[in-house]
Formats: sequence, C-alpha cells, structure tokens
Amino acid sequence: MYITSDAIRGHIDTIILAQLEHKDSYGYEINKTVKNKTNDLYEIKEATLYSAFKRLEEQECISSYWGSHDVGARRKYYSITDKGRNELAKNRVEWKNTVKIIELLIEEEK
Amino acid sequence: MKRIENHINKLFSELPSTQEVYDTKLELLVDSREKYEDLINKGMSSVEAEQTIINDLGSIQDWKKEFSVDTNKPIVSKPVKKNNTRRNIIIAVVAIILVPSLIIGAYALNNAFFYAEDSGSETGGNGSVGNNSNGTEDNTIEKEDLYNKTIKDLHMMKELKVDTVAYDVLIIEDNSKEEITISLETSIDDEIIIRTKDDEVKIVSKYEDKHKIMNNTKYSGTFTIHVPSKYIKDLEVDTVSGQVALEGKESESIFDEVDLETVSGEVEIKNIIVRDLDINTVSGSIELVNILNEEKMSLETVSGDTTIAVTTTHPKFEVKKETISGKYNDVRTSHGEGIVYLEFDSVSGSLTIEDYSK
Repeated sequence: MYITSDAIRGHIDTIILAQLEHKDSYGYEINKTVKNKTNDLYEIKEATLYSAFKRLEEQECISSYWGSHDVGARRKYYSITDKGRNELAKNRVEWKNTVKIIELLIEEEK
Repeated sequence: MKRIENHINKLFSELPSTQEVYDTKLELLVDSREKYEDLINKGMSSVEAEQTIINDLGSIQDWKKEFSVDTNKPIVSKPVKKNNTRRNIIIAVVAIILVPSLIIGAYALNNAFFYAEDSGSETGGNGSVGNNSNGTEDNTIEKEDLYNKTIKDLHMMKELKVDTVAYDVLIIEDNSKEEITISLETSIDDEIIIRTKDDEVKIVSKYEDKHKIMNNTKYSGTFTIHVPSKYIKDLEVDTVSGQVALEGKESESIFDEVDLETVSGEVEIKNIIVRDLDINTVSGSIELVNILNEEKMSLETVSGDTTIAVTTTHPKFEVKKETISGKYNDVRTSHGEGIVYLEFDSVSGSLTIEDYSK
C-alpha cells in the first residue's frame, strides 16, 4: 500500500538515513525494512527511493560502493557518513519537536 | 523477468543519459530480480509477480519528476526538436478540437512530454552506415543505396523501432529471410538512417532527423520493412501523420511486444501472433484482422473506430473499456479457450469485435 502523503515524503531522507544507521544496505532491502516496520502501511516508491539516494550522495550524507559478487548479483550498497549521522540526529530532534507542536495544536478538545 | 527488464529499459530510455541514471538502472534491475524471487517464493505466479513489480515501479512521470529536474549536476540539456513541437501541437490541437476535457489535456501533455524526451535522448549523430559517432557502429549494415538498406546478422537483435513524422510504415513479417530489409519511397531527397544500440535497431529518415523545423509536411512516402520475427520479437513504431501497417503470415509471425503510435494515421495489423499489443492513435482508426493475441492488448484512440476480427478459436476477450460515447459490440459467434485482456480507451471511437473468416 502506498501512502502518497506529502508529510511522509518530506522525511524520506531522514527515513533512509535511519535505516542505514546501523548497517549498510541497498534499495530493495531498505524498502523491505520500511514495509515490515510499518506493517505494510508504507512503502517508498522506487522512483522516490532511488532519487533520494542520489540526492543524499550529492549532499555527502551517504556514500556507496559496489558489493562483491559472492552473494549473487553485484549490487550497490549505501553507507551513512559522519555528515549523514549529524543530519539524522538533527532531524530526529526536529521531528520530535514537530510532533509535540502539531499535537498540541490539532488535538481535539474534550 | 524479461518483461520487467524491458519495462525498466523503457522507463530509463526516457531519462537523461547520465552515469548516475545508468547506475540507478542497474541497481533497479538487480533489486527487481530479488523482489521477483521474493514474490515467487510467496506463491505468486510469474505473471502476477511481473505485474506487481511493474505496477510498483510507477509511471514514467514519477521517474521523470524525480530524475529529470532535481539533479544539481549539469545534465546536458538536449534541444527539443522542432518537429516534435509540431507533433505536440498537432496532438494538442486535435485533442482540443475533439474533446476539451481534462483527460485529453493530460493525454496531450503526456505525449508532449514523451516525444520531447524521446527526441532528447537521440543524439545528433547521423548514425549512417559505418558512422561511429554514437559508438553504435555496426558493420553488419550493408549500404546498397540511400533508399534501400539491409541489416544482416540479427542474432543479437531483438527490437525494431521506426520513428517518423510523415511517412507511412509498412512492416511485413518474413521469416524466410535472415535479414531486415528497408526501403523508402519518398517524394523528396532523403536517406534511410539506421542506428543500432544494444539489441535494438532504430530506423529514421535523414530528412526528418535533420530538418528540425517542419513548416509543412508537403511530402509523403512509405517505409517498407521486411522483418523476420524469429529474431525481432519487439516492434515499436512512432509516426505522426503516417499510417502503420503490420502484416504477417498466419501462425508464423510471432512477436512478443508490439507498440504502435500514430496521431492521425490509421493502424492495420494482419495475421500475426502477439503476446502484448499496444496501439495508440488520436484520430486514426484501428483494424486488427486475424490476429492471435496471447496475453493482453491495450488500444487507445480518441476518435478512431476500432475493429477486431479474429477466428472463432481465439480466446475470449475480457474487455475493460473506458469510453465516453463510443459504442462497443462483440458479435463473435464463439471463442476458444482462455482469456486475453483488452483495455480499450477511447472518447468517441467505437469498438467492434467480430469473427474472422477467410
């Protein structure tokens, strides 16, 4: 199921960085993780995912390398950089504050 | 998997040709293969798995949106050919005249984008015989004269594309030959240009390729192409005012994917077997005679009428139609086993399915 919510889309970069925080990964694997973690509620569209990799790489938040042949096909792995970790930490704080503020503002009054 | 690969190749052929985009395509191919295996392991059939992956990939618009605009790197901005502008105008005008609805607007825009990008991916190299400007030299092409050419050694070839503005395109399937022969009859000075890339061979006219501004198309002519379907499995024809005809020999002419587009020309197909057939016209009519469609068919026409005549052993058509005022008539007396899916999309064109008798 695809949620084409702009609200989520705006956080794609952070979502990807978070999946790379503890281990290097590749496109399909990241998307599988995203799907599992959200119980199939959300899946990143491929076009969005791969263009985010490109963007994050340009911003030097991630780096990539071609994996070895021994596990099937040669594939491109992504790895988070120090800059990416900083960005992720910053975005986490920002997101928590955002949630707090929005909740306060849109909560139904009892 | 082949279908997915073709689909990805097609998507990416419309994106800017940079190293990054190419890398992404490779990633996507590898990832799709893994996804495919996962889906099969979950119990999907190969057809379902392929369809799921293709659906998930999204539309070309999604990819263009993500890849054509946002990159900071200076992508070589390729000039859009004027003739395509003209093409777009024709589409837009025809569309506006016919039905000024949003759907049509979107359709025209869609096509405008497609054509612009399509031409953009063509480099200016003239790709004539022996010319290696695109790294596409192919010494299997023999030059006979400007209006008759032959492509030999088809073992690595899989797809034939023809791109023209005003010429009619007549493709005759002929398995008795081991080569593709192309001849061009035209009212002006011109030359057949052949470009090969990977497993694909593309045919254009030198005049149409060079004259970016098509003030008038007061010329006409016909590309006649003989193609053996034992090598060439996929066909793609794109013309604006020309007609497209594809003729085969019953039960011998077997294609995988056939994709024909024209704006005002008619489309006629006879005696072929095809797995996946895609036809798109604006005002031209579509006539399919004694064909065997194995899997699915997609017909789009704004105002042209469509007639399909098939033998009584042809599988039943499961029709999914979207039409505003077009009539639909299935007057077949009986059908064979199985089902083929027919998507019919038209504003005012009618669809008739009838028996074919020799």
